[in-house]
Amino acid sequence: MQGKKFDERKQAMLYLGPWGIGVVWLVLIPSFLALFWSFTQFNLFTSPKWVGLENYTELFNDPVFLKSIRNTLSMTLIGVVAGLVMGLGTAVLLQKDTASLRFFRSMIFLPAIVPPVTTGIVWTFILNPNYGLLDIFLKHLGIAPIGWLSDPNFAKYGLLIMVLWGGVGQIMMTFVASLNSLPEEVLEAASLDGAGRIRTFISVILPLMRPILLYNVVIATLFYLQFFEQAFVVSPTDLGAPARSTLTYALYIYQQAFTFLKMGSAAAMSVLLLIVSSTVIGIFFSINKRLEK
Amino acid sequence: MRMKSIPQTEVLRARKPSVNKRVGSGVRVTLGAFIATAFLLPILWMVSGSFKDSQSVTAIPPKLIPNPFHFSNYVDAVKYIAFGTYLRNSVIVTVFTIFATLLVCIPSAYAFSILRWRGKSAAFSVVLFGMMLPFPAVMIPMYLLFKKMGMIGNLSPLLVPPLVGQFVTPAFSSALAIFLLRQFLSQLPYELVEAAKIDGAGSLRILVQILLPLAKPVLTTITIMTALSSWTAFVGPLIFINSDSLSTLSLGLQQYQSQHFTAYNLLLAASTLYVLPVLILFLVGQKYFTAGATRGAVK
Amino acid sequence: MSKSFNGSKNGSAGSDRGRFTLSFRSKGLTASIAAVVLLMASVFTGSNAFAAGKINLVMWQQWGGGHEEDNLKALIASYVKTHPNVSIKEVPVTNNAKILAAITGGNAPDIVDLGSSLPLGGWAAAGALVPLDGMIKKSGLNTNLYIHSALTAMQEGGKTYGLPFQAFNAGLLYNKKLLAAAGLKPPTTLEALFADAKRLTKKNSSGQITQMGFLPAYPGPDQGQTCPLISYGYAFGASWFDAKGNPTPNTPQAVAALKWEKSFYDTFGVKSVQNFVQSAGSYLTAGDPLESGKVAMMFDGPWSVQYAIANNPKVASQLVAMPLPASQTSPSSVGSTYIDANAQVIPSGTKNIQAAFDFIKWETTNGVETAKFSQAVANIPQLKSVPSFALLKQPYFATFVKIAQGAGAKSWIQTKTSTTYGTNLCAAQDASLLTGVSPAKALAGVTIQ
Repeated sequence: MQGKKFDERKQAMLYLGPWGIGVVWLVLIPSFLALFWSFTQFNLFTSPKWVGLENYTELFNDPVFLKSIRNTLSMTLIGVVAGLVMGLGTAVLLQKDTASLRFFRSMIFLPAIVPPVTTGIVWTFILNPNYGLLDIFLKHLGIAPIGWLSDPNFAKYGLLIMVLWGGVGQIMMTFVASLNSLPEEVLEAASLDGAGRIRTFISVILPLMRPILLYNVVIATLFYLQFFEQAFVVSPTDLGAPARSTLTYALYIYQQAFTFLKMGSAAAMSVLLLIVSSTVIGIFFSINKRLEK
Repeated sequence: MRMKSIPQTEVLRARKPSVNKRVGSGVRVTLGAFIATAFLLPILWMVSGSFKDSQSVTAIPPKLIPNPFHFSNYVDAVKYIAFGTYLRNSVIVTVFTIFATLLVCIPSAYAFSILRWRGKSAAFSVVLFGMMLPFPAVMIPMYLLFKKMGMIGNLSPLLVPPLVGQFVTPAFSSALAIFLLRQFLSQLPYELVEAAKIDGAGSLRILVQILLPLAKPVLTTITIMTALSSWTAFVGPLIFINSDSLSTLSLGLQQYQSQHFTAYNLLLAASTLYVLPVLILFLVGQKYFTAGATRGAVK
Repeated sequence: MSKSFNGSKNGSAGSDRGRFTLSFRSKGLTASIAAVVLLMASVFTGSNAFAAGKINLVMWQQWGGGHEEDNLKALIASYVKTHPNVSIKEVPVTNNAKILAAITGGNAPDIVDLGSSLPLGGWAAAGALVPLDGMIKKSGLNTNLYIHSALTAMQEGGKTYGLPFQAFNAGLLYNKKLLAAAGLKPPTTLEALFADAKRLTKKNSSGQITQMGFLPAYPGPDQGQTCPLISYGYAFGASWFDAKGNPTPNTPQAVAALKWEKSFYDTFGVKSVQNFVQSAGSYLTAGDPLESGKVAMMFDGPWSVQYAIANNPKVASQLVAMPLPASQTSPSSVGSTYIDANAQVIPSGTKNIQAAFDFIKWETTNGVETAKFSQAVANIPQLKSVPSFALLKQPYFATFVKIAQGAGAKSWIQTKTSTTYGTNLCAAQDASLLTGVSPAKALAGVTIQ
């Protein structure tokens, strides 16, 4: 028995070898470097100079830093909820395995293959308040045109539309898989009880889907907290345009490092982001544990 | 009492499914078509724009059908930038990343699930930590580490990380791949493994011949997601690749935009060419993917 | 390349006992690996086939692709013809962060052709660029050949870090047909400009602006151009730096300038103005606000007219250039504008410093090539005198040249924090114009650490 366990440990070490190297080299070391650098200030050409907590205090007095937090938090909240609702809605609608519904599901997934630069270009046209498809559609509903990317109050949501367009398909796929794997007996028992479709859904199906719901919430939250690509591509020469309303936290890290040449501040922001990310995920997991009981 | 309720329930059961089927499927197909079209429209616009001339791409109001069709855009697009070079680099990086990711993540997931050893869950939490690590947080330390090792200047910043299980993009990562596969393998009944062990099979054989075939849907998902995210990866190449001849197509698309002018129609043509390989890959793997690909991994 | 995801034979032991096979991918695997190895070989052998015995320079440029790149290619070809021991490869790189990362990584190109001097201050102070004074002296380069303000834009801490190429500035462009239709003569002060703009702005029945009298914040950084507030500040008598070179973002004159700029947005409505900009085509295309004849007055540079001539000759013929009027509070500030040039810099740590310098010296002092390039891109020659070229005879272009040489053309002072200052100043402008922050508050909040 002892020998076998020891064997499995040796095997595990062997199988995990490459990953282990990677984790130390590209996860642990960079994390510690970032932590150390957060207490220094330097740019890519000078050596780190110790400044203690100065970067942190400076950040908390920096209105742009606070703005980037507000931007990122509101995008995260709305993005995660919208993604869940849309992903779940489409999954429920299209879960049956008929040819037509399978085709529709594929079409909803398709946007994920479009590269960020192209997504930015295409959606800049669609979101145009004067001739873009979206506002033309809204006009038919009697809504005044919205400057999705030019109005500081709405630019975040224009970005979110782009991201959701590409991401909802992936979320939907996971929910379809989950729905299709639900045990038949439970569903039948519910309909025997005389429960309506909606009540069945809320009190029977959703709880069964809790793991996949948790999974999607966690993945989506992490994605939005680090949101960079689409925000960058949309206005690389004027980060955060218009009026820094799309300046996400990650974009500001980038700007600190490469425009303002303040690596220490960029590192401090990175450390804070890591702390917040792990805290948020931890909260989700503990909520999940509590619901399990 | 009992006599009354049973027939009632039977009537309910007999009626409900068929009513649902009739009303449900009509509504489903209509709504589904509507939603799918909405998602498809931007892609149609992209393809339509790829055939327009440079003035009518940005014309107001926009027309969906180009008239006439400028097939020459595709030829011009390939000549406007070093398309062939960038395409080659993207192919190398993506194919390599797929193989490297599978090569490293499969054994890792196996070690974190089937194998039993002390410290397993502690080590697995490092995987979770890796998933939470925001790329912007570590991209600069990574850059400097790569620089110290002389990796900046060739493709290795994009090739080596997948080989050590550290492929990272916003949408997908090695850590996520390990996580998904590990979840799936953990759900399998251990008796499968025990039976094989009794048969005298070693770990490797168990993994390859028994477990992996069962994991086809998850593996397909991982393959498609890795391919997709590597092909469209932007930030990694942006930061780590300095040499133009080693740039990937995802970055190269930016070169249709210059200071004062964007060749929109050529960019859209290049984009259409760009999504074609992934589109084909997706259509091929679609069967596995849409019909419950993440089954088991989600429990 | 064949990859087969064919269905696996079932996973039970049997014929494959003892061999390591991935049952569902074996056929495609070896073929794919072979293909990838071949491809990778091509990366490491073929790509950078430099000729032996030559000095091979790499230049990263920010002109981009298209015909501007063609002009650069022609210029390089001229140099290489008379300097056959040198080969130069130019690459469009628009992302400044990438350039910075390359310099730190020790993989910088030999020359960078920067689209503006905005990053120069921070980079020079950080040690990312090679100071050129030594080589300038040794080579006998007479810096007096350059337009003075174009040269000072290349200097930080008293040292020269770049040579200017193709200067650019802005002036007031107005559409004489639209002005005549409203019975107006070109404004003589900025306050008069505002009054004229009110009369020249038309809205349709749904409240959308169909014609804009004056579009103050366009083009801007979004279109790859300089922040207009900087020039408006000069026009109100503000100087963005004090005598010692310290930033002074919120002097009363600066606040007045931003107030003036904001008055257009307040009067016409922020949403309406933004929608108007969005309703036009992209900058420098036939559909853009100026070229489509929908804007009566705009503050922009000569290339704008040149593109108009190419895209929409009818409207182009209606455009007239004049020096920007000054505020009546600062009448001597007529013809205010930023002035800048494409900075030719040499990153630190590159190997071929002397060869790189020889090229940029030639590039920036060769009158014939400079004239040719200016003709092609409608930028101002960086040299005080060049052989005459066709554009100089065009009234609009001659006006811009005069503006560039005038006292109103001021360059940004390069310091360690000047890049941050410039970026945050523009952000303050946007915050005030678009989100209603008061000009005084916005400018007071400009951080320059």
